[in-house]
Amino acid sequence: MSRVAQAGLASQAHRWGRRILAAPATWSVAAAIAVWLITVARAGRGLENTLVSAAVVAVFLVLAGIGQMFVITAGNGNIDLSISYVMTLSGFAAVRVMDGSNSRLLWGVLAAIVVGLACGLLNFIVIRGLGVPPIVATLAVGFVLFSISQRLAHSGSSEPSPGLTSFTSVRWLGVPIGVAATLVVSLVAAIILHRTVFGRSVQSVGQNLRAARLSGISVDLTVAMAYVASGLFAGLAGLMLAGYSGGAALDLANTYQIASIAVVVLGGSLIAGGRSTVVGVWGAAMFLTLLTTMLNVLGLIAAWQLIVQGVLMVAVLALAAGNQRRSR
Amino acid sequence: MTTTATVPARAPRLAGRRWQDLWTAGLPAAGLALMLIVLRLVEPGTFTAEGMSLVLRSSTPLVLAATAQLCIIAVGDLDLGVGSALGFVNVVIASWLASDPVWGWLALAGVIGAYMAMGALIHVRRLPAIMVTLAASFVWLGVAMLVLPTPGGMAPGWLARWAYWDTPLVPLPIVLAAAVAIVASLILNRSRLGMIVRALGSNPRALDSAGRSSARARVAAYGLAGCFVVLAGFAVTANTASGDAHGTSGYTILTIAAVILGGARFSGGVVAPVGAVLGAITLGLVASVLTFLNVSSDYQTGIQGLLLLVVLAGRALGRRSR
Repeated sequence: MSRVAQAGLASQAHRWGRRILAAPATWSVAAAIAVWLITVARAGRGLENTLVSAAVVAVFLVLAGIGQMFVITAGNGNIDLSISYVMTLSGFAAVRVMDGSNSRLLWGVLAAIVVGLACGLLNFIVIRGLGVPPIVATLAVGFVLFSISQRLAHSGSSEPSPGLTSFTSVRWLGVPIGVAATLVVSLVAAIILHRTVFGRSVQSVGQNLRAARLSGISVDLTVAMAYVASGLFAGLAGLMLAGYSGGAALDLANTYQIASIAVVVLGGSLIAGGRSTVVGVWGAAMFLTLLTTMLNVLGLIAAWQLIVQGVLMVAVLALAAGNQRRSR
Repeated sequence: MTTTATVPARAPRLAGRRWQDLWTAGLPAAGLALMLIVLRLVEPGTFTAEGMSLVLRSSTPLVLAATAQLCIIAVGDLDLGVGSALGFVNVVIASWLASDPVWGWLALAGVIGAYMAMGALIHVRRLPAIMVTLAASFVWLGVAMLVLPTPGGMAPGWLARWAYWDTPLVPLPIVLAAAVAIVASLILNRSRLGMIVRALGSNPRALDSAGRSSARARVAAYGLAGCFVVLAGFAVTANTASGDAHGTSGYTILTIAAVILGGARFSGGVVAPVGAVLGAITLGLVASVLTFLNVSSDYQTGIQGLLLLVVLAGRALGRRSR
């Protein structure tokens, strides 16, 4: 091999290296892998086993995060703080409709989807119709939804159908069905975001509202669809979480309100909108879930677990932000 | 000296600005008046100095915490960790301040320092504030749990005496709320520091070209917020007379609601300290009224949400009709 070709190859490798370093999802995925390897080394459990059992729990966060991602991508202060309440309400609705029987499984799934879609639409109507900033509008809508969930919770209890419960845990060729289904849904979401008119419109609205409007994009329709998508994903996440936990509870989804934002931003999507990555959402969700596993394996008390989580979140964020800036 | 001359201490008022001011201040005031009327109808007994003092005592921590949130919102950021930071201050006061005052005061100074460091980190690395403050909330909670693993502790004697101090004529919570509103207005809307902070929120580029350090403005805003968080922690401890790392987590969302109710804008630059204080008191009163009305706790969150929407819709209508 000539020296010129060698130099060409080296610069090619260098370019690839830089491109990987500059990719928004890189840092969350790298952090997830690091935490995964440390966990395996310390616990002495199998590589695959650790990964799969983390993925089973991470899928709820992935679904909630992808919904949040569509809203955040639309930029201009769009954010959905109602996700946790939508998850809880759709979990309750689905479980109530199923009432522990497999024959009503499909109706329960439909109930969760309808609740999710309706809540997303309601969010948009309040934001656009009343001119309320999204962060407060979605919070206020969430409060109202929470009251409905409380009514449902206090008017008797029901169980999810056995089919739903097994959906989240049963494995097919070694992969839990819930994880496989979420992977497929994520792929569809990525295609929607990057390859469809709607996805491109959301991104351009997030990048520059005026330019998007001038280029003929219906901004209202685009933002409305982003909120409806967020509601739909929250509905699905609530459905699966209720199945996984064996029923709906009022504190079912509390942590997802903030965590859904965390996975979007840690994953490398811009909080200001305009550029997002589904791979990053997966990376960040796996990172946060594996981090909890690792801290448990290391035997840290709850207080230290929280401190380490906080510090590592800032570290990943600072690394990702620093490298993105240099690449621009 | 030439740079200071180009930045007047007060922005020139535009025509119609005064009406805008009146509307932003009037709406939370109207909300508060409405809640007071309802309270009067529901529970006339509260309209004594003693009754008012009891009803309003619970809103003092929120008044101070909302002002802290206001300082952060002024630069266009959002503090998702204020509730947990409040919990840390609360446990430090309830456990260290009585037994080990030196370390206690140092830890409280550390809170203000940590807020300033957070502001610097956000500015220098250009990180999203909501993520950094969120991560900080984990750290606050963790450290608070290290200080006081289970709820307990005791407020120092002097704080308890202060909290039940009978002020002449006007009940203590009202005096405190008025003092907070005045001090915050003076700092944020009248001082040079406040103007630089608000300038960072509304037009950072203009601040830079005026030769001011936008990094220093952000650090100052966060430091100011840290001061109000510490004060709010004193108010919390005075009310509960004990420490609980988890006890104040709900404050994060409440402070945001109070600030918005008070007329501030999320995009930064426009702040209304008086409005935020009124908003915080109103939110506290809503909870009291609902309790007096025997409204099932199932509906309380929902009604607070609806109230928030009604006020904001009212403001949007006011904006549109002009």
